[in-house]
Amino acid sequence: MKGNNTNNFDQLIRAKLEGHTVVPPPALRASFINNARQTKEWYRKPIYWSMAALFLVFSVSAYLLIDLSPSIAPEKNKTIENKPSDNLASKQSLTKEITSQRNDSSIESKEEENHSDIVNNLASSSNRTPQGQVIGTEGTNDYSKSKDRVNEVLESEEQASATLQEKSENAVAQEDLANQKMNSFEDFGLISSLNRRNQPLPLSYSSSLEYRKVKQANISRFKEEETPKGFTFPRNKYYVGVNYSPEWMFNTVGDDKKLVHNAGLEFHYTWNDFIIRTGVGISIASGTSEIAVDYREYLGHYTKLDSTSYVWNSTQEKVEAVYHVSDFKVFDTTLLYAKQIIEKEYTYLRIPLIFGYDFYKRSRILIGVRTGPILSVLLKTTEKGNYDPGNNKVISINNLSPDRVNTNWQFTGGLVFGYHLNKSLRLEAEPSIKYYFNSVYEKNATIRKPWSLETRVALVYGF
Amino acid sequence: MATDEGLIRNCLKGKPEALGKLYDQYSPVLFSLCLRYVPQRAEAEDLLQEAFIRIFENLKKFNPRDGGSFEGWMKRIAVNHALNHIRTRNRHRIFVESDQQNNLPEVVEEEYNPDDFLANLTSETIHRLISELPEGYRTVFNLYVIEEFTHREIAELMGCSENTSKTQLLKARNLLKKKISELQLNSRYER
Repeated sequence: MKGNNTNNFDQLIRAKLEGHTVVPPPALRASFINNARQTKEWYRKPIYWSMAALFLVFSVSAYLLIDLSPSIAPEKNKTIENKPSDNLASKQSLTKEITSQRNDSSIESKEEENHSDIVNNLASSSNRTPQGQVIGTEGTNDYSKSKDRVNEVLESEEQASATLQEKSENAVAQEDLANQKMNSFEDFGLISSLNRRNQPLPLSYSSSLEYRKVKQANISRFKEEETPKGFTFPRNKYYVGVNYSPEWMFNTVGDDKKLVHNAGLEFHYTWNDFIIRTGVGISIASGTSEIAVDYREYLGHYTKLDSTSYVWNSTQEKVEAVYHVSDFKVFDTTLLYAKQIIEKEYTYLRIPLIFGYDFYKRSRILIGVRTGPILSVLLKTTEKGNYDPGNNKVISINNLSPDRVNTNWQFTGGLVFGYHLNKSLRLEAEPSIKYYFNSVYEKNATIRKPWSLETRVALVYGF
Repeated sequence: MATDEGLIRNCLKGKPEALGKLYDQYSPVLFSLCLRYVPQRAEAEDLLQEAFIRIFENLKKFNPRDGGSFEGWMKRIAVNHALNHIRTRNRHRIFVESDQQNNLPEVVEEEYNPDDFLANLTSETIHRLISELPEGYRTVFNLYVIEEFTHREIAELMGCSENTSKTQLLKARNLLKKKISELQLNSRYER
């Protein structure tokens, strides 16, 4: 490090101190081992595993909510998406063929195919086949059964053709187009309801007035059954609410408590599936501040005679002395050193500006993502217990712990899970991770920027 | 080095006996170092404790292939921590009663040759004499003479100019020589 400019004096000093040792007090040893064992590597700390487990639980819950809760509905939706056009096309072609080329044997085979499509489509929308009466869609046995049913339906269609002849081809097509959306629901509802009752398919399935009535009845029943209590996700535009978020901070200094309490009022504005959330809140963090005090110990006091005066006592007829004295404290000349821990409580004003997107909104459940900046402004610092030097003379007080900065910015991101208690009230839980753009402490190279894990719980009212 | 590597490995596993061994082996050296920078015993004990924790936290970063001994690496951490402590302390200083610190030592007239006498002094005495130096002198003297930092490095560490570091070292050296001379005189009178 250094060149050869060391003189003899320096070399002698260095040589003398080369092997110098001072044995520290034995109590320090145990203290170090305890502290070292507490200062494990991050992955050994239970808090990280707890957080990871919490995240896993939330993730699995989200997956289950999205993937499994609508396990019936998506199948129906699938039917809704795939079947109407097929059914419509089949019906239209069937109608045309029946009315115009009824005696054509080649067309009859086509009709058979088309009917088989219809029936297969209808049956495919229901996997429940009570007592083998309902047509199956998979396997050769189901196919043979379905063929029988096709024949039945074909016969019924031929009977119905007399009615259909009265309508023009265009009229039928328009009517079916108008009912296209409904048919998909109705087909499923009809089949499923009949399946449940162990009833065969109606013979005049595709055309009769009776069929329409059955359809309407099934539609309403289907809606009642599949939307429990008739709850649909409310489309409120504005929400106000209260929240509380416990926050677990990392990279704090010394004995500063990791848990921070946040609470506040919030306001949401929603636009389709997007939201903006803001509000005001209070954040309370507590920590300790270490001070080093240099002092001189109080040894005692003495009374110094400043002056003496004499007064005449007329009653006793004598002169009396009056002593004027001052009290002086005596301190040790040795400078002593002491450390003192003072507890402090920091109150911040918290202003978030959160942007979000709700990707799942069904029935009472909402799942979305939230992210955005938060501004914290230090409002006040409260000290719990001041240093009391007693009679000792304080020479200097040095603050060993860094103070907190007045303003800091954070950036948060997380998932929100909402549950509608009713049309207006919603409960929200939002686990999130937060990064502090600047340290909460005064600038010091040894302090890393804090980050935290937070779970916001809120009750919001929509209007 | 092989024993140090084994010790480090066991410490990283969190074995209490290894931590104890690490402490027993190196705490006397490091405590002596801490006392050189911070003479108050209680403060030096705190410093030692914190330095050991810092060493433990950074233990996995120590690579013997980088060159340098494990003890040297630990000393460097302890010195940095001591300097950081002194810097923080001074930065947050509210009020200080200045005693003899501003009184610059007079240049010693070399009536007696302290170097000769120095050779006969014990390391404890020298350690005590260094501890009695004012904080600024003591820190620069320790860094330059014992830790063998250059003035440039000291200036960077202490946040001062190179000239300040040189001046402080000169004054520290003179004051120390004066103290040694006084000690030498006293010992002559005692005889």
